[in-house]
Amino acid sequence: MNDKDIDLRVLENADDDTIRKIAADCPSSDEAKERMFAMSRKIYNSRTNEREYNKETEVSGVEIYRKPKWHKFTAVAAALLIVTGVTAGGVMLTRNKGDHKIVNSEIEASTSPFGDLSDFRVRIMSTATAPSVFEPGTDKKLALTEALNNAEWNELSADTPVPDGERQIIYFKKGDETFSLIVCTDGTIYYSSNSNEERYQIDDETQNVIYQALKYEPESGDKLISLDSDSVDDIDMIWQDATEPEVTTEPEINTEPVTNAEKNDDMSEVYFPPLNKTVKVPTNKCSFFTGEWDEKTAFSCENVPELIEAFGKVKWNKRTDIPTGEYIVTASFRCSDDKYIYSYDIYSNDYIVLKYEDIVSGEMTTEIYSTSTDDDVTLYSAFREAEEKITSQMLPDEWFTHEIPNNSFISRKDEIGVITPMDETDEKEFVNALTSASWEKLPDETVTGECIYKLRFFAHNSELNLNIYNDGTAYIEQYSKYRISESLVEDLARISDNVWAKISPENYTDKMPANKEEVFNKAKEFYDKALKYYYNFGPEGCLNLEIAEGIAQQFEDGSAGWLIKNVNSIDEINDMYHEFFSDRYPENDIRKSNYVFEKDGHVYMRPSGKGSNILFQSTELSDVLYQKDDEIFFTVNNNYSEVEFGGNTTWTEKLLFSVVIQPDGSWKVGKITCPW
Amino acid sequence: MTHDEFRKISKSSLEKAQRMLFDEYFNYVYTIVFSRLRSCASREDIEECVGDIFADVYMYYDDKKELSGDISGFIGAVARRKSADVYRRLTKKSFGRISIDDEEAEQFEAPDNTEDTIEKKELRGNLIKCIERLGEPDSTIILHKYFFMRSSREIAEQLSLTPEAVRTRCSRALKKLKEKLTEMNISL
Repeated sequence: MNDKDIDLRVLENADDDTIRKIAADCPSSDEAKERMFAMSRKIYNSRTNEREYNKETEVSGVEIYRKPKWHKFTAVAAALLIVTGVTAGGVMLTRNKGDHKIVNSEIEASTSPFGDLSDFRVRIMSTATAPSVFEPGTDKKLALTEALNNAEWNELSADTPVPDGERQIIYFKKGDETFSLIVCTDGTIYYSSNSNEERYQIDDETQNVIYQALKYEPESGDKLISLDSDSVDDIDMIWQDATEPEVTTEPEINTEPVTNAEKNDDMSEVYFPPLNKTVKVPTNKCSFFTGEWDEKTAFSCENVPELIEAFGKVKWNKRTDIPTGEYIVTASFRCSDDKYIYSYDIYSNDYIVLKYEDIVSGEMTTEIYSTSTDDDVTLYSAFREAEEKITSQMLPDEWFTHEIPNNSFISRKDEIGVITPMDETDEKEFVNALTSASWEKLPDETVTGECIYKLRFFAHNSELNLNIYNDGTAYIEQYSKYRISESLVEDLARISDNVWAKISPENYTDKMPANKEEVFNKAKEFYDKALKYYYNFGPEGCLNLEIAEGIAQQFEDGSAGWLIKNVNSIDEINDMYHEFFSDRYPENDIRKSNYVFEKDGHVYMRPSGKGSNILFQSTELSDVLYQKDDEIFFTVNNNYSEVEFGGNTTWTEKLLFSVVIQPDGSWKVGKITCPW
Repeated sequence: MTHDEFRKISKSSLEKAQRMLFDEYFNYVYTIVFSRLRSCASREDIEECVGDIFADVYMYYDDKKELSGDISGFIGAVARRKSADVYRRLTKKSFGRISIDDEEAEQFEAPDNTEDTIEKKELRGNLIKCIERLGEPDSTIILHKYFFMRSSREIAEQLSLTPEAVRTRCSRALKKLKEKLTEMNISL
């Protein structure tokens, strides 16, 4: 290195903190950036199309269930497993009322030279994980065994030169039978069992699948099993913790197609895995919800038979392990016949809890199943599509009885740029107003008057914007325009007045702190500090935490996190946090947050951050509102804009912020909402 | 950008959602890739790798599976893994199993898989601090020139300066930086 140069190689392959600092000075021109964006789209499109294409060609002649475009197309749908690998015999796959019906007498499946691998469990020792192994996620395992079953295997003679370089190993186990495939650097494979060792050449396509499978990808469900280097050559050590394989149940295969005469529109056939059969239930006794089951908000399945059919389309794997960790129900389904009430609860970890309750005795049987990720998408999509199909036919008065608005904001009359949240009472009134009003759908091209009220709220899966115009019309953005009853406008006017009265300083003149100006200036600085500290676990925050370096630790229940070295419980962190944030508000309680968790006597910080609102622009303390005992309340304005993302809306949300005065005169943060 | 936001925007336009995701994480991803491949890859290779990473992220984001909160950690992991693959391909290292004692093991690992030595991290931190203390635009010029290996003309275009001004500032900034590093007893 000469005097006119400097070697910055030390910054190569740097830690995340350094990367983020350098990233602030990323030098790419707009042109280069645009080129890379176009490339990412091109690669994405080609991958998506390729998968689509594969599906269509491989199951040609079969009516394919189409997922919405925004869903991932992975190559191993259960339907494909049935069709691929079939080498002889005429196979006809028809679909009728959702059942798989294979009418065929001669089915011969391809297998590898070592038999059909699809029922084997698989563990992999790859470059990245050695000497530990990982058990691939369901999709990857299926893709691998399917590829190996269908590969072209050519045995090599014993004198074929052995390549240099280390090898990666794929271990197989079914019951007591174990063997391994050792992948050499030239792509050839040794088959190794207790009694035998053979070497094979395989086709390029299968080699690619194998290399893909060798990559350890925890986000795809790969589970790491820690082993030490002594275990490498001991196959029993590789499988020492393995429990019995999962039992897989296939939907019952009928050999006789259902004829039209047997169909009955009032009855539906629902595949119920615990009984391994299709049960016939009255269609009007089938209902669903895209969330935790609630009879009051559930939708009837009467006009969405495709949802019921979806249960027969996926492959159900019975689980013997009970998942630990906190998961939520993302979709639920109930139906009943004379004997049982059947329930399906689909959890966010792809597990499905199935129950049937004897109507007379009340006896309940519960079984747990899982599906592959692709099947899970199929199922969940069926729920979402059914929900969208039904709600798109509903007028808001009916719609919002199923998907009840929450977290609602409203503007003042004629001041639509600023909205503020409703409290629980106002929101109840708001929901009443929406559901008791009359709504008449108008054509999209209808010209509306001036907007007088702007509202924003969540209705189940979406955030909705509702505009009310001065000519008695309304528009739910991205949905429809409506003519609304006068009563709704009157109700909204009352609610708006009510909500805004609560945050207007002029209504609290007798409750102002004595030194208002001074308090305001002090609060401005305090608010900035509060935002900087808000759930900040890093060195910039108000917590003195030593967080472990390196990758987050992965646990068997799917959770992951970095060890916080200098505390033994979340309570300790909570106490530190409460030095600056008052414990008066439950939202300041770290124990209720999802950012940290305790395991085996240690505390871990989860890898996921708090998220961010990309539309956030700025925030400022706007007014002193009032003082009540030891707490001073303020309003803050949070500004948002869609402009830089191609939208044209900008708006402000007015929220409460408070400080709690301590006996020594110092302040702690009371009520606070993170604006981003 | 959270998964929910992506989904909401992709409902009206998938491309828009992808562009927003791309814009938000581009600098981060590009820097990870560049920092891994700067010694062995062409700019085309680097750009292709960045495109590939985002395509992967879009595919993942299409999935209904929830990724809670900020996903920069996940994107960083994808970027590191992909660029390590490209590094391996370009440097034609044997793709074999590595014993943990292998001295070469380190270069196969993504940095987040290694216990970065405290000294090295401290060194990087101090170096970045020294660069930052040069102030703008000198700190940017130094990083663009000596880390991102941009020409004076390219830097000039980015910073709206003349190439001459970039050269002059660069040589002064370099001198200052070296003085600072010497003061801190840092030799590179």
